[in-house]
Amino acid sequence: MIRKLQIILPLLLWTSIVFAQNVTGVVTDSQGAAVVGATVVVKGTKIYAVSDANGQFSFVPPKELPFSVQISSTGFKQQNVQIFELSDEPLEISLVDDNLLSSVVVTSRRRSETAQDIPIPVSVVGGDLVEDAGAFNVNRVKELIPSVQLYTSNPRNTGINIRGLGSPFGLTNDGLDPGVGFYVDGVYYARPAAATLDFIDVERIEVLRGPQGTLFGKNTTAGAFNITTRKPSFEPGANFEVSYGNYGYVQAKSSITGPLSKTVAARVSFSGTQRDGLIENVKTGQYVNDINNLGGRAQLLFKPSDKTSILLAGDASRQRPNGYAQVVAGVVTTQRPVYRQFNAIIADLNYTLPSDNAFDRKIDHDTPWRSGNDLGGVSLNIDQKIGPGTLTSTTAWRYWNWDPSNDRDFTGLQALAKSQNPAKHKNWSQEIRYAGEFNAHLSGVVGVFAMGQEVKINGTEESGIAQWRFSQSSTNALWKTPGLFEGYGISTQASIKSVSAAAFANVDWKVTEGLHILPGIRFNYDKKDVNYNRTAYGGLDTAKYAGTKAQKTTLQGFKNGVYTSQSYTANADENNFTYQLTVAYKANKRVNAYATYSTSYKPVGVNVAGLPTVNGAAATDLAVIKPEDVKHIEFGVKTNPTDNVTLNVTFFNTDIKNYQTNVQSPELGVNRGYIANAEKVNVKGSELDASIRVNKNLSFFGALTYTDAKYVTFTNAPLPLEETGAVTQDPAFPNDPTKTVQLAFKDVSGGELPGISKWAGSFGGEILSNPVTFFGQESKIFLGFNAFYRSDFSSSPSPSAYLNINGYALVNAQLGFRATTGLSFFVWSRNLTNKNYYEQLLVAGGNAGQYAGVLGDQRTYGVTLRYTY
Amino acid sequence: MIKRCIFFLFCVLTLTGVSAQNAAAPAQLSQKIVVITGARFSYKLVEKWIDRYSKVNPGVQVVVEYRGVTDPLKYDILAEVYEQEADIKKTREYINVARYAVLPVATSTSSFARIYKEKGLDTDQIKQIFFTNLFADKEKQKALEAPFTVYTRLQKAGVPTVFAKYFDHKQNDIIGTGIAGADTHLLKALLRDTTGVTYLPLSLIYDEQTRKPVEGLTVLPVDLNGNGKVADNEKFYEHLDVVIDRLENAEAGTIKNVPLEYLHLSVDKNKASEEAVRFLKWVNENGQEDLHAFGYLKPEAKRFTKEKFNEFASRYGK
Repeated sequence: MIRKLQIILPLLLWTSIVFAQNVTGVVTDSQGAAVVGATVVVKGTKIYAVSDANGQFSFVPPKELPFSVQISSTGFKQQNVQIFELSDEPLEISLVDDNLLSSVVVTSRRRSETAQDIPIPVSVVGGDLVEDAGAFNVNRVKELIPSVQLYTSNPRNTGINIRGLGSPFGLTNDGLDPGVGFYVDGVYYARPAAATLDFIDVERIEVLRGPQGTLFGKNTTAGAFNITTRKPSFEPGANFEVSYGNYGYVQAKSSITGPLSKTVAARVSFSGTQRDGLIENVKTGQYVNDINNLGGRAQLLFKPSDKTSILLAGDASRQRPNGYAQVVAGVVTTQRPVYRQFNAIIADLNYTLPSDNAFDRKIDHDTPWRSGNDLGGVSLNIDQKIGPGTLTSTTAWRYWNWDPSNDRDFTGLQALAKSQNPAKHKNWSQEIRYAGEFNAHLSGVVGVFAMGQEVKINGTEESGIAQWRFSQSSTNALWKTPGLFEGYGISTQASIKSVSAAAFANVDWKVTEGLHILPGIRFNYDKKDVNYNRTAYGGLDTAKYAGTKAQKTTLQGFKNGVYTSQSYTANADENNFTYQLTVAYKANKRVNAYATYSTSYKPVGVNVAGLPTVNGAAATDLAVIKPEDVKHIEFGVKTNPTDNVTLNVTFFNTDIKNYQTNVQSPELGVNRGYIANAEKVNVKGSELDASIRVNKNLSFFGALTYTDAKYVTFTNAPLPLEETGAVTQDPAFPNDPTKTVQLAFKDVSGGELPGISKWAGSFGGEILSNPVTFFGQESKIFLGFNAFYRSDFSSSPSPSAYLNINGYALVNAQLGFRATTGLSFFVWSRNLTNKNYYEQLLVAGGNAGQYAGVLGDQRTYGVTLRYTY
Repeated sequence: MIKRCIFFLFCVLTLTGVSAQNAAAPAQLSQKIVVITGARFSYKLVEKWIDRYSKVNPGVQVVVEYRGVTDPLKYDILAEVYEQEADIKKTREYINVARYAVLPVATSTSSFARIYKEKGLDTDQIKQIFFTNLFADKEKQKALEAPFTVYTRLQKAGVPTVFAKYFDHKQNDIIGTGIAGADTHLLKALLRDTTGVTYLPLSLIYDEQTRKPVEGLTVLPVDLNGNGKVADNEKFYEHLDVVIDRLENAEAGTIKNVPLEYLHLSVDKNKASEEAVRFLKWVNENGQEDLHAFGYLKPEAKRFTKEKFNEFASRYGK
């Protein structure tokens, strides 16, 4: 008994001291009614609280007095409070309902601030909008943030770009680092496949545009996604949501949180999505491109004192879709001979496409599509208040398992019978940083980061019975030799090990009340080691062919023209120093202007998907490609012209030397393309963000971007599809027009970069009723909508006359009842006008002329029920 | 055994610590204690009275205690700066010993201070700056020529209540950054902001020694006669004694836009200690000597009914 008391008594005394120090309060409106869900943020710290169903809140105050607190809630004017002394008396915060915009809190600079206050172009999408708009992954969120582009022909081959920069267009090469950092609760997600997963319990998505290397551990040359999930709470709470829609759409989400003891709280979240396929495979009778996602996240929060916070989190997501099939979207006449054109090839093979119109959404693919995608990990985040700031340690281990099967000839022919490159990826990362408001004039963040990762690829590429006709490059009858290419393929074992390390610092020096100078520096180290080994197998054993020696040699030559064994190792290490300088001036409370000059590097790249063959040997000089050298200038003004309007504008110019790009090779062996440097690229443009709250019942938001992105110099670009087979005069025989050589490269200097629309915009709004009674509870009727438009854009790494996607507009809408606690109910529709559009066009392997499209979803609609308490 | 000893020691130390905290206030048990609480900005003046009183009554210890969540009516004497509710008034005996004035002030370095030190503020402008009015016709509002940030007390308090009431508002109607703390913290917050504007009593605006506004603070002249203009003779805020003289000697009811309120001390009519009543009687007789030194105005004769309290004091305890 004494022993127990020995433990309990000090604990009780200690906890009573801890809890006595809490700042408590209540948020009410001008009528004295509780304001639920108001955000209470201690400025310059990560401390914040949210008012509960009674309008009450509580937080552990920072050590130093005085400190400033911001209280905001949608529909109310933001209230600022300065705490000069702590008192037992609860703070009574009365918010004025005067139709002002609520401020958006962001933590991009590793401290809680309002988005309008920071001199960074940042777009913020709250968890509520994500949920109401059905934007449950990055691909859908991009419709709300027009500066973001996401291309995904499957989870592995996913590229997230901001302002057109970040990842090379086309298939993903594991030897390149993404230029857009993807962070979830401070943990760097190394694989872009994460962008295809369902969000789990997201509280807020911040998209920082432009280089942010001096704020984040992993270099981010194009921008960053900073995703914050809902954390464990010591106040019990839960929400459950289920949605049903056409095409068998079912989505269920749940989240439960609460205390396990006075110092430990937990949150468990779950998300599952299923939907039938949207594309009919007329050969199998199956509908493919379905959704089959499951994900979960568990978090334990341990707060042993007001200075220490430890969060242990684990997540696991898996996707098992019968998808991502692409549909032939068109056929280009290449410059190869007539017999090598796609239509001639399929005519010879007595084959016709199931439809000439991709939007009939019919395929007859004979190779199953499979996209097994498992991603997860654990992380430990420790926040320790020391002095005026917080020391944070984020340790993470993550995995990604990729198990695909593709039909990369996009037809019902057995040209490519197998195309699959399963990969297993593991990485660990450690970030330690110190951030805070060091004194009245100086705040900032300083940190170190290290990450190690390994990707192992065990791929198979195999030809089928029809391959001979696609590969046929002469009229020699031996091409028709039975079994020549059947079962002929390559087996690839490749791995890449890499280490990244960085030290970074970014400070905000408040020179005068309005003038801020923000220098930042970063030192970066990257090391990459690649092992690549592919072995050709199968097909006709030419040595046993019953023919002459010359015929045997010819047949083997045919085979070698399709696949060869290849083996190489490559390694690279590189370090670099980058910096940035921002000058910001707050002329008054309504205008915050800033200018930034920054440099950054995207790490050295290594080819890990095969190299083109030159004179029968791997072009190993292409194994390592240079780091991107980025120089960026940005001017921006954030304004609140009136109390209910936000209007921000930015102008930017980015010059990239040694732009890392993907080169799609007609060689089947280089099945993922290879990466190379374009000499120089320039992206410039302007962005306009606006929001207006007309009154407490009506609000709108909008964003418009103009982006002009060009290859300034790219002399050795790949040929566009239609120029495949182009020849030029053989320089060895300048006077003999019959002597020509195949063109491999093209100078595309001045051409536009792929995947970037000159104009893109989004516009949305919400009409909200005054409270009504719905199922005996107070609710508001809401009508929300958001529209997204982008102008036409190139879908070919080298500008093409054919692989261009027309501009399109999409409209999504929701209508229903919304309650803060209790039952919410709404109906929704995505792509309300049922617009047919392509997200991406991809050239089929071998460049016979056909290309496929990643189809945007047709109109979907459904109903969502949500219960919160 | 050692663990038990440690545990015992821990308990003893804990209990000792707790009891030591509780016993901190009454330092000399042999003396009679009178505890005063109330508006904190009045404490300087009250402490001056205590100082003087102690010299003539060394056997009595009068102490000022910061008011916490304890019911204020449990203290011996309340020093309040706004009129209390009728139910409470019935139970207490008051002396309206002093008056104080509340004026708008701004950070001296602000462009707002530079402009409105010269132009002054009329009633509409004061209301426009300090108060929210959802139904105000924005078109009719005057454009204010410089940015400003209003600071106000967050918790219910005397000075903001009086200031708001004068302009037909409630304390909650004052817009701006809330300050959790005392009136002195309003001053501190203001001086940290180059656009700050607030309201303060004279005793906090002016330095007692130099008689000038606290460094960094500018008093914003107001339309004292209510004619809609601020004339040159209404700008007299450079010296505390001049301000007191102008406000104190103005004809009753002629001063506009300057809230004036009483500092009153009170005891419970039925439960007050005799020592508390004696102290109040002493203040009633002698307290006015210190008013000007600390930035207070003398009470109006009609409200300062010295005899009434003396009569109560003479009856009390018999």
